[in-house]
Amino acid sequence: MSGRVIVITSGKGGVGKTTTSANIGTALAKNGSSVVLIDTDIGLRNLDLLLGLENRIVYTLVDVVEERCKLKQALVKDKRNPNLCLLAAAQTRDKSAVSQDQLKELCDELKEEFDFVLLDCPAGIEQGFQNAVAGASEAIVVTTPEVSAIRDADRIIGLLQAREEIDSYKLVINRVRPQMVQTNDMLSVDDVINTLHCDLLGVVPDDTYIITSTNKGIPAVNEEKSLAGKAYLNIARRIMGEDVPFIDLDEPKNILDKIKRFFKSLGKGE
Amino acid sequence: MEQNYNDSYVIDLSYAVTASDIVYELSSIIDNDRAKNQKIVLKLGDVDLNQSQLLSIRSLINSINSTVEILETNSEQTELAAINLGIVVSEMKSLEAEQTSSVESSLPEPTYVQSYGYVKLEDHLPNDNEEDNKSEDSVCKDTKMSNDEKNASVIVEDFASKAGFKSEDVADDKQDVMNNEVKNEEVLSENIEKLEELKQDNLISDEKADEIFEAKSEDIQDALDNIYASEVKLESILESEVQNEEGIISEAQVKRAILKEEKYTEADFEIDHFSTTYIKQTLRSGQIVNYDGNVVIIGDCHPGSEVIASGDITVWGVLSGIAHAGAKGNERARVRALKMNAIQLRIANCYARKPDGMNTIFPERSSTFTPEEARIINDEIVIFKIND
Repeated sequence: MSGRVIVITSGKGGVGKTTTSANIGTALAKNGSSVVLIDTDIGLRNLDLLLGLENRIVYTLVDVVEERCKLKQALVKDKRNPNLCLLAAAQTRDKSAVSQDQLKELCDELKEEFDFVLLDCPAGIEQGFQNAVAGASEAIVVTTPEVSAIRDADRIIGLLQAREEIDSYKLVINRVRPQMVQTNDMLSVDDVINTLHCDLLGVVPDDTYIITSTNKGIPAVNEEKSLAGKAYLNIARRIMGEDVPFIDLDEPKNILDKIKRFFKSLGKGE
Repeated sequence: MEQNYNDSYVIDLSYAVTASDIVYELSSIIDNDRAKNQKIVLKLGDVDLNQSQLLSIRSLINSINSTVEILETNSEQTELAAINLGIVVSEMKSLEAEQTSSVESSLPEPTYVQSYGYVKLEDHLPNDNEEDNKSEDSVCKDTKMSNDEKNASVIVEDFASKAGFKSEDVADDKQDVMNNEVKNEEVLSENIEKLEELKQDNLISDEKADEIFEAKSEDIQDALDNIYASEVKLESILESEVQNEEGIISEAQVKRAILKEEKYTEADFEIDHFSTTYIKQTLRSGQIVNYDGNVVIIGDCHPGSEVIASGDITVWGVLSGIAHAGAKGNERARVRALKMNAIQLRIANCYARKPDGMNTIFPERSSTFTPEEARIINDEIVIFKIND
């Protein structure tokens, strides 16, 4: 069995790479696949916090690479889902602690045992990014509907295209606010795709529950009410090859919005 | 130490004094290719092993596709445990005499390295445990072996539930701890008896047993982790803090895996002669202090920071990172802090982690602190309030 190695990257910081990694990983594991999440953000690790596994980490990615422990000792099993494992980054080292070859070797080893190996990439295009991308064959580019994030995503896509080992790359647009899109205050999903010319994997709405879930250490996909959680579950199903329609984010919430929308459509019709 | 004869592979551990020696020696043997896919003959000396220890040794050997065929021991307890696990116990004195007398004289006296230390601390061994769980799940039908494994799981569960006690009680009177131990052992034997009865009456249906087992598998997994983990006898400490009108009350629930007698050696008193370093700054995430001696930190230790010392660690502030006192194996080392909020506490070969429920990364600042001290009591990390 050979699993899929997917890197989750963005270029710009703070667009939700780690949140996306944690949620897609959890969602894939919920669907029955065996998943290992690797935090490659050495020195600034966060993935363990989002999964609520901080207190269980004894060995890290650097310990594995430097052969201070066996690989299986460093894999921390998730509290809720036995299919999900985390390989945490070291907090007391920096990006130069591992090399591209070492991570590639590690990914090759892990993909023999797991269906999915997800790499959470650090921000930037320096060594940390190069390391994370080295072992991957697929990429998910996370961006937000902001000009700066799109500019950086464009740069990242360029770098990914230059790498032969990356077979496919897909776009996740995070933190979309449908109401702002309607009033033309935010770039729409179509605008982003037209700018980046990239296949769309999913659209994740801005959801306050993400903040709660980060603080609690429980990924949003575990919360049924969360719209973002639903979007991540759909993304996971698309990764597994299902054809899932995109959620209609524009759906009006109350009667007043419905009436407004009706009159708007009349206006457009004329 | 090892030799091949007939078609079995003999591992001679008769000179081992404690269970940890055995685990240490075995862990070096499993890397040996010759030991793989073999029938293993295990020679044990006077060591007393209980069922769960033996179970873990067996699964360690199973992890390299070998099986424990025969076991030789001088200890009655080990013999009983082995019989319960379905391992053949035999006196191989004559064989041993024939086979080893010539060899032994030429062999040098075996020397041990105690595998204490920071790097040796092992917590997660999903590999072995996964295999354990799988085999247990699949075998859980009618075989004697699976029944015994269920026993083991229930026993561990019982320790978890019965062994919880408040740290204040311990602080008041260490005798309480001893009483608790006696109680635990009584409970354990009762449990075994009950399970024997249940087994005979066939009251445990297979499905029910599977359910029980699934529910307890995390506990047994934790317990096994620690037995493997080079002498880590402590299962875990759950410390929760409740804010009430009077102040902070800390409540420690202690899970126990194995009991071990306290030993006092010269090394225990070394701490007094260690040199001490003072660090007058706040340790932030990613910063690490590693010192051969005692460490005093005047400031806070934020989450993500690490303090490793071969002696005591004293934090004049809030300890929220990882602290490892007695990193070279000194079990008398202690960790003290004005506010104990550590994500992980390690003393010598013991390990404790913060319970999952508490997610206060930065503790509330209050005008009054209750200083706390962590030390090892009977192979468990126990946190005491320092009131006076």
